[in-house]
Formats: sequence, C-alpha cells, structure tokens
Amino acid sequence: MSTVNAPVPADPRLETRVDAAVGRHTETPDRGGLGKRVWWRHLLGILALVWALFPIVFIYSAATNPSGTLNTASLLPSGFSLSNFDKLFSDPARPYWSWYRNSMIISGVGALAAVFIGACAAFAFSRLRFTGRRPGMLALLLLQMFPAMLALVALYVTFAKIGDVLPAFGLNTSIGLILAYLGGAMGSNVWLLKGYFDTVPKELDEAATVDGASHARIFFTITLRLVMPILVTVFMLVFVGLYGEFMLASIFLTDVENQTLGVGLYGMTLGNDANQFFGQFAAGALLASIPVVALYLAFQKQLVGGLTQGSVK
Amino acid sequence: MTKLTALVIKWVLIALALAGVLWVATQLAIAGYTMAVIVAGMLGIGILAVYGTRRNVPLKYLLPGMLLLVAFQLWPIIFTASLSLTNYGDGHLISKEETVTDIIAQSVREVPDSPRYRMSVATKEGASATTGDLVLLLTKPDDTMFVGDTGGLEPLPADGVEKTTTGKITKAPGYTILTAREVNARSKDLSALAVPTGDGGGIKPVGLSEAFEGKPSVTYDASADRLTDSSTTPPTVFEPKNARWVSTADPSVAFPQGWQENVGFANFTRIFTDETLRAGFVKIFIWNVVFAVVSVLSTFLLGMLIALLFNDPRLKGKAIYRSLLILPYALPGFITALVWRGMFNQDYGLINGALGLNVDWLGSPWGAKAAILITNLWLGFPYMFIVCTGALQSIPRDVREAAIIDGANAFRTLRSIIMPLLLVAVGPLLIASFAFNFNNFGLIYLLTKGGPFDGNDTSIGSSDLLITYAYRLAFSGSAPNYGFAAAVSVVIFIIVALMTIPAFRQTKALEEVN
Amino acid sequence: MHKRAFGGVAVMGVAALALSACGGSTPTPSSTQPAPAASETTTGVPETPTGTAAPVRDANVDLVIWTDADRSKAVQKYADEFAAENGVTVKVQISTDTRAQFKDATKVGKGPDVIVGAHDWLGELVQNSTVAPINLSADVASQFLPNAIAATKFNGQSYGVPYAVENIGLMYNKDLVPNPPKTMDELVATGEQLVKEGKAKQVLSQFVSKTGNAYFAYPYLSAFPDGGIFAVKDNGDYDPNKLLVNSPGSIKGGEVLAALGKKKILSTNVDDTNQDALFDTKAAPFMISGPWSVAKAKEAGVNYGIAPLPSLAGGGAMKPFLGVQMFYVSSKAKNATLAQEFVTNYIPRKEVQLALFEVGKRPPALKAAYDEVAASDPDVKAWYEAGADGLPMPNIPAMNSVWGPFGQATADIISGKSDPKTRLDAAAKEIAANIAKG
Repeated sequence: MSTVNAPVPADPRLETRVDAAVGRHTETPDRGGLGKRVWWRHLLGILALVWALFPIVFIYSAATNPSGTLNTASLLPSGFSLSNFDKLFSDPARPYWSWYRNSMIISGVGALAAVFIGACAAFAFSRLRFTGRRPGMLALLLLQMFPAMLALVALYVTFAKIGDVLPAFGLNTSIGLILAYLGGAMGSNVWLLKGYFDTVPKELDEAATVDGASHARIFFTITLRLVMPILVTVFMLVFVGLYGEFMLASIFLTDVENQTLGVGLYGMTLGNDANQFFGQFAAGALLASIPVVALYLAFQKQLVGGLTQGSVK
Repeated sequence: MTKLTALVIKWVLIALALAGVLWVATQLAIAGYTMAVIVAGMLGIGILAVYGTRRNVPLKYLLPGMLLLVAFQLWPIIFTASLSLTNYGDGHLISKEETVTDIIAQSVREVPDSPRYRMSVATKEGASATTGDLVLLLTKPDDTMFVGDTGGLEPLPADGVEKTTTGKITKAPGYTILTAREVNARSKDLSALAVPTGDGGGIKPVGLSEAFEGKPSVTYDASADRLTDSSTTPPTVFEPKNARWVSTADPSVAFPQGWQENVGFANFTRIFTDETLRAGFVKIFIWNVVFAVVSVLSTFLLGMLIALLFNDPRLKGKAIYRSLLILPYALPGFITALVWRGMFNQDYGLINGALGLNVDWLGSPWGAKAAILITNLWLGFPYMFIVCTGALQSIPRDVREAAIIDGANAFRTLRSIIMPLLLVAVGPLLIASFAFNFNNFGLIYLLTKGGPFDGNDTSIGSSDLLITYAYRLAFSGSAPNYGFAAAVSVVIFIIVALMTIPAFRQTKALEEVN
Repeated sequence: MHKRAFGGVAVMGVAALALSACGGSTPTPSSTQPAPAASETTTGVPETPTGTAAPVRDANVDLVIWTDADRSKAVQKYADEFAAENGVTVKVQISTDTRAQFKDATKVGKGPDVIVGAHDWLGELVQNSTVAPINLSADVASQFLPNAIAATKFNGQSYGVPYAVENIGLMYNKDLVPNPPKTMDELVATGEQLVKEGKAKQVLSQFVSKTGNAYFAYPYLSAFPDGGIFAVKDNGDYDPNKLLVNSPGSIKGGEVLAALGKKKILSTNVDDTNQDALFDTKAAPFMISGPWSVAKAKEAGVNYGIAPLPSLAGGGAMKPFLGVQMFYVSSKAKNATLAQEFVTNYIPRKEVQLALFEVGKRPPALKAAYDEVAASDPDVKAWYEAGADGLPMPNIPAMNSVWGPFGQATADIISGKSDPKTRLDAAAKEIAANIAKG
C-alpha cells in the first residue's frame, strides 16, 4: 500500500471513502455555508466555555471574597479583595511559594523523564519485533489497574528502606518522589505514544536503515522528531497528573518546606479549622492553575502542529 | 554527529551508569545488605550486556522504564498482595514479642505513696559517657540523697555534693554528671534501667531530672505463654488467641495490642463466603463497571466533539477557547470536586437552585451516581480534548478538511473516517482511561465518600467503587484491616485483568492496520 | 533548561537530606560531639553551646516534634527555649495528617519523638504500640482540669500531657437574639419567629451531612438519662461491651432529632462546607459549633455570642463531647529522654499553655492558664462553660466502629428515612458486630 504520508487503515473500503470524501471536497467547495458554519462553532464554543467555567467562578469568588466562604447558591462574586492572597503569601507555616517551586521542579523533571522513558519504550513496542512484545504491553496495562491506593503503603516502606542506605533518594526528598512517580512512567502513556508511533510511516525508517543508519540514529533523529506532537501532549498530561497528585506526595513529603502544591493545598482542607482557610485555599488553587495553562499555551503550536507536514516535506 | 562521537557518548553514559551502580552497591555493602549488593551487581552486568553489546536492541529501549516499573510498581504490588495472607492492620502491626514487652512496660504504675525523686544521670568517674554503666543520683523530697544503679539504692554522702534549689544534684565526688545531650544519647539504656527497690518495683527516670518508683502489674510466663495481670483481684490470665492476648476467664476482655501473623487464605475465604459482603461486592462491581464505561465514553465523546469543533483553521480565537477549556483540568481536582459537592447540595446548591429542582443529589443512590458522572465528565473532558486535538493532527489534513467542508455528510464522515483514524491513536488510551476510572478513588472520596449508605449496613455505600470500599476496609472503617483490604485488591485486580484481556485482543486489530 | 532543572533537584535533595536525617538516624556513640549546623538556618534553632564542630553529614537533631501548621509557631518558640536551656537542638516539623503519618513513619523507624494530637487517637495509638506512657507527678497532674487529665488515660495508664480542651456550644447572633435560649423549644420558637419576620432564612445551622456526624449528634442523646454511646466503667473508662446507642434514653434523643428534622431545623444538607457560611451570612441566627468557627464569624463581622447547648424537653441539658488536645511521646522515640523531659516539664508550664491558647483559642487545660485567659476573654469562658457537663470523647479503639454507623443512623433519622428506634437498633447491631470483628 502506498500510504507514505497517510496512516490510513488497511481496510480498502475506508480508503475509497477517504478518496470519495477528498474528491467531493475538490469538486464542490461549499463556500456559501462557511461564515454560517464558523458562527455556529462560536455558539457551541461559548456553550462549552460556560460548561467548563461556571464551577470555577465559585473558586474565583471565594478567592476574592474577604470572608472566603464557599457559597454555591449564587453565581455572582460578592465583594472583591485580595486579602486572601495576602494571607496566602504571608503564612510561614504554609510556604506557598516553596510549594509552588517544588511542584514545578517535581512535575517538570518527572514529566520530562517520563516522556523520555515512555518514548523509548514506545519505540521498541512500535518499531521492533521481539518475543514478549504483546504480553509486555498487556502487562503494562494490567499493572495500571491494581488499586494503587493500597500499594502506597508498600511504596512508603520501600522508600524508607532506600533512605536508610541512600538518604538522597529516601522519603522526604524530591528525587525519591520523582522515582516513585517514574515507576508508572511505562504505564498508559506508552500506549498513547505507541499508538502515535504506529501512525508514523515505517517506510521512513526502512529507508534510513537501507542508508546504513543505526536504530539509535533513527530513533533520535527521525522518529522523535516526527512524533513531537505526541511527546508534547504526553508531557502535558504527565505534568498535570504529577502537578495535582497529592496521595503519594503527602505520605512522602513530611517536611512542609519540601511539600508540593497538591499536598499543601490539600492539607488546608483537613481538620476542624479548614473552613477558616477556604479563601486562601481557593486563591492558592487559582494561582496553581497558571503553569498548566501557560504550558498549554506555550505548547499549543506543537500540540496542533501538523505531523504529516514533517514527513512529506 | 559522527559515528565516533556517538560511540564516545554511548560509552561515557555506560560508564556513568556503572559508576552509579557501583556507588549504590558500596552503600549497600556498608549498610550490610548482602542480597541487595548481589542484585546491584547483576544490574551492573545487565546494563553492560544490554548497552555494551550490539544484541538485545529492544531491551536497550525498555530497560530504564522496566527497572523503574519493577522497583516502584511491580514490587509494591507483590508486597501488598503478600500482606493479603496476613491480618496486618490497626492493632496488628507489631510482632508478638513486641506486644509482650509493650504490655508489660505499659502496665507500670507509680507505687502508691512513693516519693518523687529529683534526679541526675551520671557515670562513675573515669567511665565513658557513651558506654559506661549509668547511675542515678537521686534526691528525695526530704533532701536525703541516694545513688541508684542496677544493684539497688545506696545513700550518697553529702560531702562535696552540690545541688540546685530544686534538689537536682549538679556535682558529686566520684561521679561525672552527664549533659542533657549525653543522657539523651543513652535513652535506650536509660529506659532499660530500673533501680530495684524490692517487691518487683524499681525507680525509673522521667525525662532528665525526675524519677519515680514504679511497678509493672503484668508478668509474662514464657514457658506457658501466658500473661498475668495482678492489678485485678483475682489476677487475670491472658492467653494468645486470634493474634491477641485474651482473658481466659472472660473472652471479651483482651489487651488492645495484637500482633501480625499469617492467616493463610482466610481473608479470601471471607470475601467469598460472607453473605453481605458478597451481595455488596456484586452491587459495587456492577456500578464500578458502569461508572468506568460511562465516564470514558462521555468524556471521550465530549472531548472529541469539542476538539473537532475547534479543529477548523478558519475559526478565530481558538487559543482563548482552548486555554479556557482546559481550566477544569488545570485546577487541582480536589478543589473542584469540593465545589461540585457544594453545587449538588439539595437546599443550597446552584444546580437545584438554577434549574428549579429539588433533587436529593448526594443523599439518594441514583442522585449520587448521576452527580458523580456529571462531575467526572466535567473533570475528564479536557484530558480527552487535549488528546483528541493532538491525535487529530495525525489525520491527514485533506481528510480532515473533507470532513469539515462536507456538511451534508459531516456525521457520516466523522463516524466512518475520523473516528476510526482517531481510535487508532487514542484507542489504547481509552482502555487506560477505563483502568484509571475503574480505580478513581479521589472523585468518589471527595464527592460522596461512597455514600449514601444503606440503613442496616454502612460498610457498603451506594456510590462505592471497589477501591473506595477497599480503602475504607484498610484505613478508615470500623476496624481497619489492611490484610483483608489487600485481599480485596487482589480479587479486584484479577477481575479487572480478566475483563481487560478480551479488550486487549481487540487492539491487535487496531495495531496491525499499519 | 533540562540540566538546570535537574541541578535544582539535586540541590533540593541535599537540603532534604540534611533535614530528614534528623528524623531517622539513631544516635551513634560519635554523635555526642558534633552539633548540627546545616539544617539550623531553616528551622531557626539557635546554635547550641555544646556544639563544637559542624559537620554537614551527621545533622543529628536531638528532639523532633510533629505538629500541625497553626500550632507549629507556638511550639517552635518553646522548643527553642527548651533547646537553649538544655544545650540541645530541637526541630519542629509540620505534618498535614499527623495521625496517619505518625503511624506510617513510626512503623518504618522514621517517626518523630513527640506529636501533638487529639486525645481520641489514644486507643488506636496504644493498640499499635506507638505511644509511651507519661508519668506526670500527682502534683503536676492536679494542676490540670480533671476532665483533661482523664482524657489522657487509657486502661488506667496515662499517655500524655494536655494543653487545650474543646467542645461544641451554641453560637447565636446577638443582633437578632439578645439572650441565648435555655431550651431547644425556646430556640425553635425564637428562630421561627425570626424566619417569619424575614430576619433569618432558617432557624439553626448544624453540621449533619448526608453521612451524618456522630460528634454533633451525640449531645441530643446525652441529654437523656442513659442516652449516649458507651456506658462508663467504674474506673472512668468507657466500656466497649456496653453500648448505649439504642438505650431508651438514646431513642428519646433520636426522637428529638427526628422531630427537628421534620421541621427542617436540622437538615442533612448542612455540612462542614456551609455551616459556617449560613451563620456568618446571617441566614441562620443560631449555630451549633465549636471554637474553630469563631475566627470566621469575627471576620464576617457577626455580633456573636456563645452559650451552653440548650436543654431538651423531657430530658436535661445537651452534653457535648470534650475533645482534649495533648502532647504524646512516641514509644519508638529515638530521643526518649528529651521527649519525656519536654512533655512532662515544659508543656505543663503556664506560659506554654498560654502561647498554645493564642494560636487555637481553645480553653487551656492547665487551670492557672485557663483562669488567666478566662478573666480577659469572654469567649473562652463561654466555651468552657458550654463544656462543663461534657465527658471526654471515648478514646477506646472501639469508637472507630461507632463513627460511621452511628453517624449515618442520625442522618437517616433526621432526613426521615427511618424511625429512631428501628434505625438506632440497627446501628447498635452493626456497631456490636464491628467491635466483635475488630
């Protein structure tokens, strides 16, 4: 099959449909309905925004309301003040900026490493053929399904032991936590990556092999470049996943200066006095969302950048 | 990059990895973990075999991830599974020997009407502060002074002795008084030290400057394996039973401290024989599957539709739309779940208020389930939106444009062209998403805690997933029993695995299309 | 960028190592001479007189205390004083969930020497052998409120030193209600009148929630003779084998809950997220809550008053549970001597109790400290008086079997899903079965 640029399924019926669709497009450019159609998209887009944002309005109003209560009966923010932000930044027992920094480092390094490990594994699963390939993929998936909550105790004990021998990798360290997270780096992300790797035409690396390129060269110089959109996507997903994680982090990081945003903010919701901190908590949560949005904006080009352009040109 | 530089980089990296392994092995050797040293050695050989030779190409790519996987995912699972054969849980965390010493230590009571002594900890002059035998320099309230050690109490001649106003001895000829830090370093020796006063009692230190005369009421008879508490009349005898010390006279009387022991397959037998448990298990299981399937499908459909909606190159303001749409995903899930809980409040929530309803969302079984699915749709669709937006890029532009332009057949194009192509990329992710949602602990815990609960049995809630149920068993419920919860997890795992394998077979079809 | 980020982690890791080493390492013979220096700056512990060298490797702190974020400042201050006085170093660490973290950490030998926590953890801590007995002299013990000392005991052994007592009471809006009601009937009548006049939207704000809350529901049962959860043994301990949950008195209390639920005075839709807001926005003139609600009410500008819980018709006054905050010493403490010294010799000091009062605003457990605070702070006096009849919350492990079933039972009674007798009988049966299992 001569699908150099299109990862079209082998089903011949599908292919004719694609051709048909493409053919129709060139025959009847439906210019008249265009403006109308975009307008229609805006309408739906705004609906989607309302759906996505209305719960967040509450968080915003709790964050800017001096009494900082979660009042979910009305949508309108009542009063505006930055006092919750002031309190959030000035509480030495809850070092918000340290949490922020820790979160950025742990999520950033963790996500980078996870993407690299995942990409390597996906390359093997997608491009190489070896015994145990499919069982391996299945095993990866199955391991994700063990109720991880229960395994936390075992992880804790393991890292306590590691810390006895190698204190730099034990409990209460960022490296230890990142390692613990990386245990899951081969998980579902490998599947996502592999699915995408599969859509990159094999002919490209076959051609390179003929030219005498080693597998490593193909991997680093051809494949990785072509799958950039998925690498960026997975980086985003892992980053956000680690950024919001607090279950493992809260048993891991006992020292308040070492904690992440997830642990710190979650801690503010515990105990009798939790209501007292709701305003600060909401303010902290709002600020915490900035890196994720910024990351998305920064990567948007790559996230939506065309894959096939690279391979065709 | 030339072949040579590549080769140099490769060997530098291998050398670094081996140096790392060597360092770890040294640390392990210092700490005395022989087995771990052997494992580290094998690891080093493995690295050399995989990366130093031209063979084992797949392993070169898989090894780093595999090592992490085995160490931090597979091993914890095996560890947890092994605990399912024990009674590990609150009240059963320590060994039997520890319970005996602990029970005896905790039975020490101050001898009635005995004096409180002022105390200093010292060693004989010339003896080492870190290893020398400890002596207690004691002052009674009537100012008489004593020296106490394991041999007993003897008067201390007042000559040359200096005291504070409270009576604590600060200088005594023939003795070196230890500093607070030195005393603290000997905490273990000190807690083992009791100056015998006859009649089974002894003078024991409290902190740095005080001592009291105490006496344990419990004794242990090792040959008969019995504990006897003489504080009751008649003395109560305790025998080991079900990993507890239980009174021989009244089985409802027992010490709270129990020990960890192997129980074989008792936890598993309990899962399959306990009637309420079994009925509940089936109920939870069905809801768990429905929850996971509906969550995956609903979030995927909404995420995909929105991704398609904004996949039109002519649409302006996409960046704004997209970055606002991912906000639900960018905010920490536990705060938004809390907000949703508030919005679902029957009396004060926005949802009933705005829609003019009076649904008891969180208090009725169906309401709670609906609330959970709605919240999960909100929490989960941006993820699918991001994934679909990315995956849509793997579909050739002309095909996409065809789908966009061809209004009359938009739905058909979507269904028969875009969807199949999209599924190639995200199909595996849907399975993974299923796995994630199947164990979506946080959502349920924050929204309903598994409730509402049925009137007669609050161990099983109507919105419980297997994992929230297992969590309650292990950590928070009536009698936290980690071993039993581990057994439940193992059973959950086997069930999920059995369900996943057929789905996995389907992916073969998807995979081989290329 | 990759490289820099990683360097950052490495630095962080070293800092963390310096910080965490204190929690873990056993004092070795050589550890007597070196004084920790690396971590000092981060904790604010002053350089100690005995410190001679300052090697970075073995940063060995002599005493580690775990407490929550709010208490940490007050504890830190006196920990520093203790450190200076004894020539040692003390580290106060903030833990977000002390109860769980302490258990996990102690199990693997990484636990602290001292923790600050509630007295009702005690049964579980003893069960797991994680706390050590504390031998306060009779003199010192007699300086505390008797209930506070009673709460630190389990099976006749004492396990800690208390510093604060807390309980729920009736908060009322003085602008709407000049004098607090003495009885529940009076409260309901006043509240309904206010609702009728449009001055309030509902009568009472009380944490019930869909799954129920045993702590807040208990006073309705305790208002009646033999109403409650467990009977009390001769020695003052609760008896796990004598359940009162479905005693005639408890059922009477259940009937009050049902009646109030029917009138919508109690509602399962009020929970921890909105109960303060309802009172603070003046929607409800009355709220049954504890000292933790005061700060918010003050901030919202509510002219609040605090009174004892009202009495119920046919019974007596509603008696709340007392919660006692205390210092525990770990049974696996690496620094047992200093831990004992700190807890038995420092926490009973008046100035320490006063400092801890300042952060939590709960009545101090030391009589002298309480007297001093009560003279100037009417809130504290009011909270104390609201708890005067109360009994400490049960600290026996069996109580863990009660919270869920009993709470849910009260929620079902309030929402009218079930009648009091049937529901409390069912709850008693479930609790008894759970206790037997545990």
